[in-house]
Amino acid sequence: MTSRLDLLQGTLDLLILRTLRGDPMHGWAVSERIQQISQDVLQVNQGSLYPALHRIEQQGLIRSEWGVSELGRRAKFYQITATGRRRLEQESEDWARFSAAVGRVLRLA
Amino acid sequence: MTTRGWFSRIRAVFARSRAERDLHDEMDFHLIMQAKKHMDAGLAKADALARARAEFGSVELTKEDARDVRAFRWLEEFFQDARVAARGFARAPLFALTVILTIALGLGLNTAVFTAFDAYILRPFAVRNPHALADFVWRDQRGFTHALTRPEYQLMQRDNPAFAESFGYMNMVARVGGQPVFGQFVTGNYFSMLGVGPSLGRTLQPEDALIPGAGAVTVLSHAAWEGRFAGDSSIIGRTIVVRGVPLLVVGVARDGFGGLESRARDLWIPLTMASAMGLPDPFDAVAPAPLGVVGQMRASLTLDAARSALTAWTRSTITDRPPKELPSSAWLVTRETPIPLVGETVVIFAPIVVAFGLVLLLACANVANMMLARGMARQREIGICLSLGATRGRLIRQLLTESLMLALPAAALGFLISSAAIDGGVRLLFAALPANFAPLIRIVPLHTDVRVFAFMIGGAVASALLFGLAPALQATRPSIVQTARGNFDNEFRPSRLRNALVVAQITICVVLIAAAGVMLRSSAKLQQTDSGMRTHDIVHLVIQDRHRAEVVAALRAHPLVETVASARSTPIDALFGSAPLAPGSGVGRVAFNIVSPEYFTALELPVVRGRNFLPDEAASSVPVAIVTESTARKLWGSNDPIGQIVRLETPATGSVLTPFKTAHVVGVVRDVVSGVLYDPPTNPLVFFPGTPEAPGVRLIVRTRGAVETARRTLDSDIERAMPGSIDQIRLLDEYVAAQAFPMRIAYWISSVVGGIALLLTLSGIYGVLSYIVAQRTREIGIRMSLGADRRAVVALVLRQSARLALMGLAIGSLIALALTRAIASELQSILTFDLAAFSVGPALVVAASLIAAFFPARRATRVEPIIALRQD
Repeated sequence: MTSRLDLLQGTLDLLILRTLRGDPMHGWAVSERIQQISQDVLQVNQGSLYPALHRIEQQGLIRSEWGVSELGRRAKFYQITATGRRRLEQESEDWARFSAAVGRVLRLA
Repeated sequence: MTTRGWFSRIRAVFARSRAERDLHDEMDFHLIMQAKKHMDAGLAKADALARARAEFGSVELTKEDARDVRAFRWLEEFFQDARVAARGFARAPLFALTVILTIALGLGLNTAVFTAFDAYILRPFAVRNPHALADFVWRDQRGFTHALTRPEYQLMQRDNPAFAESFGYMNMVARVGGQPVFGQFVTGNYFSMLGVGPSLGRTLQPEDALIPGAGAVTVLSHAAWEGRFAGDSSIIGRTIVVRGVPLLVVGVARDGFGGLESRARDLWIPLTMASAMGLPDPFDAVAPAPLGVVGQMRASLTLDAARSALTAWTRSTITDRPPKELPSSAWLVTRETPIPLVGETVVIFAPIVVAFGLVLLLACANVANMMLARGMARQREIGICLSLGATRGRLIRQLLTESLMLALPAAALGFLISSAAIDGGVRLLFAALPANFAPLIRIVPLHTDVRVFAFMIGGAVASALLFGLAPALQATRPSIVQTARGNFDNEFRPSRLRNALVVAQITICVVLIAAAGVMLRSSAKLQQTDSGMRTHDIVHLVIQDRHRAEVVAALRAHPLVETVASARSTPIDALFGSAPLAPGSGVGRVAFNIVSPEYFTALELPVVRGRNFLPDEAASSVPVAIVTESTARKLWGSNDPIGQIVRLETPATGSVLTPFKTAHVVGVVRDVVSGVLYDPPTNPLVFFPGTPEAPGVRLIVRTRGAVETARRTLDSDIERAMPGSIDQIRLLDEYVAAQAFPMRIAYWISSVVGGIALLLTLSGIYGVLSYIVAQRTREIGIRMSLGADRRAVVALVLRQSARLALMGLAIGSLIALALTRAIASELQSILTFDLAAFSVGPALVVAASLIAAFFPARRATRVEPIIALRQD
């Protein structure tokens, strides 16, 4: 198996929401966090990260604010909204069911 | 979507530069963080940055994807396109100006026509529930229409399946202070049914119209109150005299209400006053006068359903007639607008709408050609855009935005032009109308409403699409392969489309010019038409029967009067009545008029055989007849008409023709028209004897001296002696002019339309040929360097123009011929094949297209071969 997986369509949104469940973060930190936690298995392509961030912001799942980063530079921080949290719960559940089902099929079929 | 989301989108549109800066900053920050990570891992600063960039991929592409997320992207692009277009127009202001003016002209004229169409046909009366209003009459077994009598109307009010309510009315034209007053006698529920309140005082109430002969009150229209009484509010409680009857003014109707007639009413009077004011009595116990009836259909009832319900009602209710006059069907026509939108209206308006629509089409074709030429000139620019990755759709959108930016200012300018056109049109209408007819016409206020506005914007957008889309599609067609080689020229030369546009323009132009020519010739012919009688120096009067004897006596004794004659139908006004002849006579129906013996002398209509009516015959309606020469020829061939018998197939009783059922011919007069100038004087016409004293007949008075002076003198003398006795007093020549009026207006309109069409075609051909010459500069250069002389070059260009002109000419002439034939089948006075109209018109178009070609041709001869060959 290769060490890196391309992200399934749509799962990026879910990962971003999960990553943002805690403190506000800027775009770079989001991509770093996803990479770290997945132990470098999941590589986030910048070309899809920013459009995805802007898209789910438009959908009202996250909101953004300009703040000052750890380097003292102007950076855009994203934060999950209440709607975003509800969506995250819903989609995490769906994902768990989906992956469990796929796993069962792979084991038993 | 959250409100916040919407806000950020809208903000993104208007604060585009800020959104762009944020986007840039965000990407930048990411790169810096990534580079820092690499530096922490031990890379040199430059290498770290390069690696971060490589990992990121195309920053611009990511930005583009992020931008696409914004929902109002198209709006941003629209503003962007608009800015680009504006810059382009600023560079070529003459082009932009020409396009805007051309479209504004086409759109403005069409808006003017639409405004009139809207005011008369589309805009409902300002009353309660106008959609449910319908006129009601019924038809008998033979197809004649009948109105309800008042007792029948009462039955209808009490119980009928279709109308929730209905009112009865009779119309009247009287004179007050020398001016015609349009009045209406109405039942008491008129105002309450229509939901029209007063602006002053009160409206008519049911109590006003209860007792025949009582209810001498009136309600003025707001327009009449302002026009005649200067908006004086002390008018309430005053008395005005109409037809010699004093009426108490009790109120002024709501502003904007003028009744349900195409000519607005000035005042309303209770129906109970009708007979006291000289109308047939609707309350007569034996022969009640018929009423006009307008009903308000019950909710949820369609016109068809109401019609069939009323047919059943009429059949079961009206049973007391002779078998042939029993009802066969009810006849309902919507009364929602001044002129109902029915097939007949469409047929009348269609030529006008089509002619003006064609002008707009011409304008669009012109502009399309200009845009096409511009698109070609911009091939290089468009080619570069395409090779830089712009999609075709995006470029087409850009070009359409340009079209729209030209169309919207054109719509605004067109609005001004339409106001001017309406103003000029109304002025022309009144200028062309005989003076004593002008007060009869009141133009409904032609103001802009939502429909007109929608028409303008719709027209502008439609024309933008028409003139923008074809060029846009064509211009964005260069192949990438070519442009990659640095050749931005377009392989595809849309000469076919361009030529088709020019041919179509010339075709339309020929049709419009030929139509104008036919109208001009027909109008001239009509003016030269010999009506068969002398209409000069004749004053024509319509008087009240109550004062008839005194007025006739006064006229006979008046020093300015030479002869007093009478006629049942005005000699030239509308179609005479006609009667069917007994079977076997060879002619189906004949027109008739009942005239006094003096009629023939007053109108200088000589009796060429036999004799005139004798006074005794006139006084006691002896069954004798005078026929025209053509009538005699048609009925009896070469036999002597004197002593022949005219047998009429008329009802046994109740008709004015009853005494003349079997009439002996005593005389023959020269051919004369039967009331309508448009019809030939050879149509069959029979005269029967009558006197000026008979009720309802018109007076025809030959005067001495200047006829207008005589008219005024007679008017004031009679009015002084017998106030309110005259309903109309006009010159007979004015009736002639009034009859020629529609044709004159048609001629004027078609001339204006034809002239504008010619102008547009001229500029269209000029534009296209100029462009072609510019395109063929190199070819012309080669020809000239190979020895072609100037004449050959001019011929080259002119040939191109002439070929298009001849094609358009052929098609246009055929269409025009077919059209005039179709119209002529409806109107006899239209000339079908008028050589003058069909040769001068097209010749004019050909001459115009050659003139338009001349200047580009001359420019072609100035091509310097060396310079032309060095191009590119």
